[in-house]
Amino acid sequence: MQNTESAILDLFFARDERAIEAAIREYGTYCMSIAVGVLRQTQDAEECVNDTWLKAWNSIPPQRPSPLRAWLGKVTRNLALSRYRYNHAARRDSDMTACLEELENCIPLRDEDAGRLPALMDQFLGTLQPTDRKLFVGRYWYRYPSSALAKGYGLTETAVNTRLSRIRDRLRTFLEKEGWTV
Amino acid sequence: MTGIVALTAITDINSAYVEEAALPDAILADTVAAARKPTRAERWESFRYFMNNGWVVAACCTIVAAAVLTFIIRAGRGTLPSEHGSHMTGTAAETETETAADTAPETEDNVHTAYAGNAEAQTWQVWPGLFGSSSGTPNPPIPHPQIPSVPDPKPKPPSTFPKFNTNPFYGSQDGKSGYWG
Repeated sequence: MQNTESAILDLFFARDERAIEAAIREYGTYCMSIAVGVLRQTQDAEECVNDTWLKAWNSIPPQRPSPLRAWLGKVTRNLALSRYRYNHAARRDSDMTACLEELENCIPLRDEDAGRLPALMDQFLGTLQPTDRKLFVGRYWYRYPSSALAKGYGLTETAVNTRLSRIRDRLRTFLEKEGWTV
Repeated sequence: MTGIVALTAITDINSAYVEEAALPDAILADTVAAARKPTRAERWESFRYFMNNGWVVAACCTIVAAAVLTFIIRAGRGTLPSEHGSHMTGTAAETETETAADTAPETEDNVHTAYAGNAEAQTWQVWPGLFGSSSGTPNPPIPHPQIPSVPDPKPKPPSTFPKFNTNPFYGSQDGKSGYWG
């Protein structure tokens, strides 16, 4: 996997267009699942993923992201969230709303506070057991549906939802200890 | 939109956590496929598949729909088979006449005679035995329920209209001879 990643990065650095083909072949499904997780429709998701390849083409070089997959995932996610905001400026999508409300209940923050959150989240995620951490990141970073998480980790959907609820409670407690008013 | 801010903010968490939480491509492909709407070509292909292989289902649906429609129409007309298996319309019951064959004990012969002599009344008897006895002979018609007459609660006032006197000697002096006598 590491060899594949460095080979693709080398193609990017050589300004070889086969870099895009290789990235699509290797990370296409991964990026598409992230975009679909946020947008819940394939047309916009495909556009986001295409924008991801363009962003990668323009950013590499000079950047040499490692791991490349996570970097591409972050780019896709940011593009998908921007598209989501644009699409849902006035109305709200019920599926996404459920996920947002879950987070709102444990992370009440203003835009100016957002900069502090990633460091705190890293700290919090470090305290979790590996499976709980994967479930949390899978749900709120990748926006995987509960059914996919259950399938991936050999749990029932009820068990996934229960564990996520407990993790959110722990996150709320953690943020309160760090001086955040929840 | 606090939630969306939070979702955006946690984008920049440690890449190692992001990497470890990624599901295998096989599950991700299922997730993507579930969100994907079928294209026009795929919809047309599925329709063609149904047309090629779904004719049995379509035939069954047609038969069931026809049966339901028939039931509804017959229920509207009141021609549904009764509890005893008789297949009788209101018209047939009303036009049924008392014949000698009717009053006679029913045998195989006189049943046929009775219904043969009353063509109008037997219009309801389309397929004798279809809903009734398996021998082909029709079941006896169900008698109409006797509705008890309700007495008039108010007594009628005495009529003031003069009654015509039918006495032939009315008006005679001696009571024996009348106008005509």
